[in-house]
Amino acid sequence: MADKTSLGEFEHHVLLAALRLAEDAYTTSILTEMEFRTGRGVSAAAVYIALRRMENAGLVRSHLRTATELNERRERRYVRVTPAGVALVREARRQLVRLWSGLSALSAQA
Amino acid sequence: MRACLAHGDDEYLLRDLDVLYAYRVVTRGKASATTWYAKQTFEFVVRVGVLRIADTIGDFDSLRSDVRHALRSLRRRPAFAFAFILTLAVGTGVLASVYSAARWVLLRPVPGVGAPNDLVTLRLGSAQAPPFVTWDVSHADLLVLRERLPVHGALAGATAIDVDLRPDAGEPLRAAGEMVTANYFSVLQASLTAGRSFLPEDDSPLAGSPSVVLSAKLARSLNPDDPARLVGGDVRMNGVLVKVVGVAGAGFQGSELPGKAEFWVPLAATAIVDPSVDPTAATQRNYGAWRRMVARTVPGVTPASLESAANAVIQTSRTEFQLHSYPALHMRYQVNPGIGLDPGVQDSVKRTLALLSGAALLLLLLAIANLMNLALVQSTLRRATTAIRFALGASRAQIARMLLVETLLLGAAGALLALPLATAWNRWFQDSHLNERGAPLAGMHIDLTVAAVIMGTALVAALIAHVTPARLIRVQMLDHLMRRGAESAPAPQRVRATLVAFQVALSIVLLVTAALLGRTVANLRHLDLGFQPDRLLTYSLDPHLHGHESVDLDRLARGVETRLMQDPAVTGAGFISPSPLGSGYFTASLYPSDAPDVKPIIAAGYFVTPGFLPTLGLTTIAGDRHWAADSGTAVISRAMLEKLFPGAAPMAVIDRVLPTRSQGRNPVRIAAVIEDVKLSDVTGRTTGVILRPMSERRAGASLMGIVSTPRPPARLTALVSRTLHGEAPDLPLFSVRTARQAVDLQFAERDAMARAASTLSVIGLLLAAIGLYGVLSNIVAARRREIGIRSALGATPGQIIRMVARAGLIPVACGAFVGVAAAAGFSKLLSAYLYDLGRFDPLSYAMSVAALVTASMVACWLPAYRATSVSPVDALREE
Repeated sequence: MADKTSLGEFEHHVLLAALRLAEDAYTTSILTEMEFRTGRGVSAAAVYIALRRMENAGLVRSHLRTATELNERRERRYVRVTPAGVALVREARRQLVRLWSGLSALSAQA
Repeated sequence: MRACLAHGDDEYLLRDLDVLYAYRVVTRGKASATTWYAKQTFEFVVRVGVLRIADTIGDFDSLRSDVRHALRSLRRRPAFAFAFILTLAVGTGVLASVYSAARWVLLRPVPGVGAPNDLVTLRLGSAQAPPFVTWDVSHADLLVLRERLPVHGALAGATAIDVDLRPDAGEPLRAAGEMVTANYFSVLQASLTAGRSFLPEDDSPLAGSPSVVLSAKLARSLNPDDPARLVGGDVRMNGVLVKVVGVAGAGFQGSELPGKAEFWVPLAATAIVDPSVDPTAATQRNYGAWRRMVARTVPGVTPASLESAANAVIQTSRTEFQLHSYPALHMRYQVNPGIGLDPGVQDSVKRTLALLSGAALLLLLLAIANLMNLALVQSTLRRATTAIRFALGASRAQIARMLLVETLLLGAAGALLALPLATAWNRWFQDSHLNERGAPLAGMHIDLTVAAVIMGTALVAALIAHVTPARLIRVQMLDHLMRRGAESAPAPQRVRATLVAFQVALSIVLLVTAALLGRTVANLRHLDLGFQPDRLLTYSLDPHLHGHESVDLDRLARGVETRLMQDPAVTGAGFISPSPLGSGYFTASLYPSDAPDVKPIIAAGYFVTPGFLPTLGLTTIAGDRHWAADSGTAVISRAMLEKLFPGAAPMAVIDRVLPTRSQGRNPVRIAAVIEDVKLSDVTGRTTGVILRPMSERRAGASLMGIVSTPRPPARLTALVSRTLHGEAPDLPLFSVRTARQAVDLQFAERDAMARAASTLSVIGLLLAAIGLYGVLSNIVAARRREIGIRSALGATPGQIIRMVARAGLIPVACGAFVGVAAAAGFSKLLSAYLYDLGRFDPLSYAMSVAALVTASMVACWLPAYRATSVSPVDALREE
């Protein structure tokens, strides 16, 4: 398991989307959530690779689960953010807030 | 895309993307959705695919571990590793060498020439003559072409010449150069490092003050410190001082390959280059000045269109200039794209290279088959360890990675060893006679491109050979192995036997090729020439360049003969002109009578001194045995006698006076008749010969001296040089070689092909024998128990040997049968090279099969003999 002490922007978004989706977080649902929230197109391959990398780093854990959808049983690989992943997301947020602090003019335009 | 994803992920991911696609079709339209889906799929294949490959290779630590493991594994199997690397190196090295030669000969640009792709070569040939036969074009006709062809005046002429150069200090030397038109350097865009090239007024034989441009190499040899200082000075050429006006750029030696020109002179130097030529006559339309022409084309002009335009000029020239141009109706221009290799020899060179490439490819295939055999044995032996690895949790990817690393290591080692082998092979090519016969091999070397080809070929061959057998080991077999043991598992014997048969077939093709070419060279070496070349030394000189002609030349030649004969090592000395043992002779004719309508009998004519006949040991069958070569006499050969007077006895023609021109003109008295002799084209049929006295020699022809000795002829070189220097200090000696070398030079190409084929066939036979040995060794190992049981039940050693040998000789027999059929087909490509031999020559095929059978029996013997030493008790105990 590789040590990871900081998050890239894309990985940050992926983790946030996964946290939002909670039990329903898998590759395509994360992709859809990110596109909805950011308004930008997202590559499924990028999400897939990011989830694999973060699983190797211990920030998420994946498992196969069978779900029934539209009368069809489907097996998917779901992901859940680990406590280490949550901690890293929190730290990334703290850093962003500290960087944003005092920039009231910019934040008013958002 | 499914292959890129980890097992278990593909189903849901693909279906989810399908759902998203359907959603996008509804919300954004089909076009947008399709674009999105294609982009997603493409990104997956590329990005995730790369990730999977990286996972397979693993991180650097894993890779290092795999390399260490592979090296340990190969160290434990030194015989396999050595055999694999050596076989790979041989197969790859030979192919790389031939490829290197092909690139050097056919693709190498002419050094020192600008924009060579825009240049074309024009030659005056004929559809009725072989491609290497050309005629010279007059300067007047070249000027017409220059004016009327769409080349904007960029048409230059060139003719190869040889002169005697005398530097200020040192011995005279023979130098090869070119006579060229004044615009030669500008057409070729060949720059000079010092001085200038020629002026337009130099384009006339009547111009005064001829000049010369030296090559950078010659200039450096004349003034190593500052070659440019030669400009403005003089150099003595054929005894005449000529002004040096320029030094050519480094590496430039003319527009032909191989580049031999050391100097260039304009038409103004005609009288110096050949004192026998009248400069006024050289301005006439019927005086051929240019052997070949080079033109720089403009956009839109193709070689084909230029050829049509040039041949149209021939038609109008005949009418305009009253037949003085292009007198023979069959003459036509041939335009070839590019410069470099003489178009006349291109086909022959390409044919030779194609044959060599075919043989090298065969050898590489043979090597790969052998490698596969070796790898198959190893795979079989490692089945148990592989099974254990699987059982301990190794994935297929990990096993594949280890095999890949081992293969790449073997391939890299094979490539590294192939480099010096290819270099050695190249050096052999360059040292062969091929260089002297016009194949531009001098300076050939292995460059980066060839090295990359070597590496690529070796790696691909190693992958094919090493990885393919591994795929034959299926996981199901491993389960069988774990329960029953390695020896009892079914080995892919049929595959190995097929590989051996394939190797045997390829070996037969190489052996038959070598046998046919070898017998051809032997036939040529044992030709009855009418004299013994092994005790003769030959040397050439050009006394006419220094004004020695007719009576003066005869006196010089007789003087040299007399001085040479004073040495006890010399048993004979003589001169002949033109130089024979090549293609030089003049077309001589004799008329059987002086009747007005009688036709002449044509023969090869030579001018000789009295010492020539006894030096060559030619047998006089009638007439004067000590012919003094008096003016007005001639000696003819038996074949010439038969043509002149069919059925007549030799004595009947002695002292008869026969005309050499029609109407009884220029008669000569027949002084003697000699046995037939081949003095020119030794591979052609015997033709008639007429020998005339040297005092009647035609001006300008080359001269060859011949010396006979009971000792090795080469030892007389210093004596000949000293003697000639004493008689004529200004005359350099050149082309000093034994008569045997001169004769062999005429079939140098076939000799080189025969040697190459012999070497390749020996290598191929060795590889096939190694493959066969490996198969039989494996059979003996696999059937050890069976052999032990048979021994226990009373089988004799002879019966066991026959049992084992049969298993090996069956694929050999199949391969030999197929190989003979393939060789019969392949031999069609050799037809042009064979002499006095058919392509289905039974002896060649029989020798090849016999060599193969012998090698196979030797390869079978050791494993078969080892089988007889299997102890029944030990074999049964192993169960």
